[in-house]
Amino acid sequence: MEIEFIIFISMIGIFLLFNILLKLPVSLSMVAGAIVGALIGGEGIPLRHLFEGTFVYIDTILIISTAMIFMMVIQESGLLEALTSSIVRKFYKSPIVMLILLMFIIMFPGMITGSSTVAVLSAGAIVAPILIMMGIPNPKTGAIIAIGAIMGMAAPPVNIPAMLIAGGVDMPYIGFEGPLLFLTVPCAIFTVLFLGLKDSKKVDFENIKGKLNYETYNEYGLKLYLPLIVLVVLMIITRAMPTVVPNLGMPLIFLISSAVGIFTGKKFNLKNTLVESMKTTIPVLGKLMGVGMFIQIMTLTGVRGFIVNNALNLNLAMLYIAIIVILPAFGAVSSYGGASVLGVPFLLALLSGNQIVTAATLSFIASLGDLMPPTALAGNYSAQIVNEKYSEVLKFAAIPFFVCLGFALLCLLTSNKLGFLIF
Amino acid sequence: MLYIYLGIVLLIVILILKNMFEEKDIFFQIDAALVLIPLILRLLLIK
Repeated sequence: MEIEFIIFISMIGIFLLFNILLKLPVSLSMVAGAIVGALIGGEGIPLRHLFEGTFVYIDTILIISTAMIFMMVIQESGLLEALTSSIVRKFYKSPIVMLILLMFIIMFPGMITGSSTVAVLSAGAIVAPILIMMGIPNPKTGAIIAIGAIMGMAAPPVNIPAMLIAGGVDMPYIGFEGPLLFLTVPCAIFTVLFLGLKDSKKVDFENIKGKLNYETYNEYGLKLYLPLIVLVVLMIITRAMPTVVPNLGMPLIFLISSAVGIFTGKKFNLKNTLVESMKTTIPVLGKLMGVGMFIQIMTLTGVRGFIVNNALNLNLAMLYIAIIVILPAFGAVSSYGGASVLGVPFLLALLSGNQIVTAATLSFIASLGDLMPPTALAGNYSAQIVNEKYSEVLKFAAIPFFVCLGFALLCLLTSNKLGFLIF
Repeated sequence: MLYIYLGIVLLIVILILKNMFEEKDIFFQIDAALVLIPLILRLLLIK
């Protein structure tokens, strides 16, 4: 047995031992796995390497932190609630359009922050009561929120697994918007209609209208939406006119939009909002730090090269099977970890395809891992929101999960023909 | 642009420190410390 394989198995084993049996957080379990890997590899405890690994994610830390500040600001200012109420008011006569738009609301925080947890806890918590009021049973609502949050996590502009995979092969995170939208939007629409349409047809929408809060919008009007407009405009013009408007970077764009949000809606305590936003974000960031250290030690000890070599040696059929089975299954540990540990070798093994489409698709498959028990970040939080056991939610999430996986496989197989999606 | 970038890093560092000292959960504090180290190194332009 090769030493790299022994190191890899030890790292995974220690991670699972600490995380599942000792119930330690994912971040610390990954650090423990990394330290044991380094010790077995004869590197001692290489502090420099451990923290070198965390620097891969320094830009990601800034993006997630500022995005979370933006999310909290628009939540506190009443924008998110007003947006949901407006959708129900305008589209209650058409359940199909309403369900699709509500699904986009669930996705939105995930798109901005790259975290399914944030999507579930912010927009998911606002939309869930509306879906239940529409007549959709609690477990189905939980499944819609879980998959919506995952689609948001995978959708552009911020897709952390795609950033991890791209970073692993020194590819800039540019041009991913088209392929990621192509993957996530159809899957999100299918999921919400498949799970929700049958039940939502039976409901009296006039009844729902009375239970929604329109006061914020009535008080502040269109001004309330200004932070969102500023965000979208800044994101577009910095890309469309790079010679006129300098590239501000996502963190600064989020902070400018957040600053606008302070003055456009309900008054709130800014200091508390800032501190609270970081409180939600720290565990996610800690997990990224753990992944960074884990990957760095894998690289240091030769485990990463060992995995790449073995992935390259697989025949094509086995490779695709490995991608659709192992990559989402790694989500039981961490979808970020799956993208980083397995996404990179899988991308290298599929060099004949369109690299951006392939990387986007692999990140999408890795994101689906957030449904995998026992960790199942998106699934467990959604189940909590609808007061159900996760096993009940998972039953309804299974079919959309496999459809999304099938669609992703199709995109992988035809990645060369999907190059037109890159703009 | 460098000073704006460092300003953003400083803001995040302050918010993490505030949370770290207010939160009683030891695992949360360790997570916060893990995130702080690269941010402080970047803030001091060491790395």
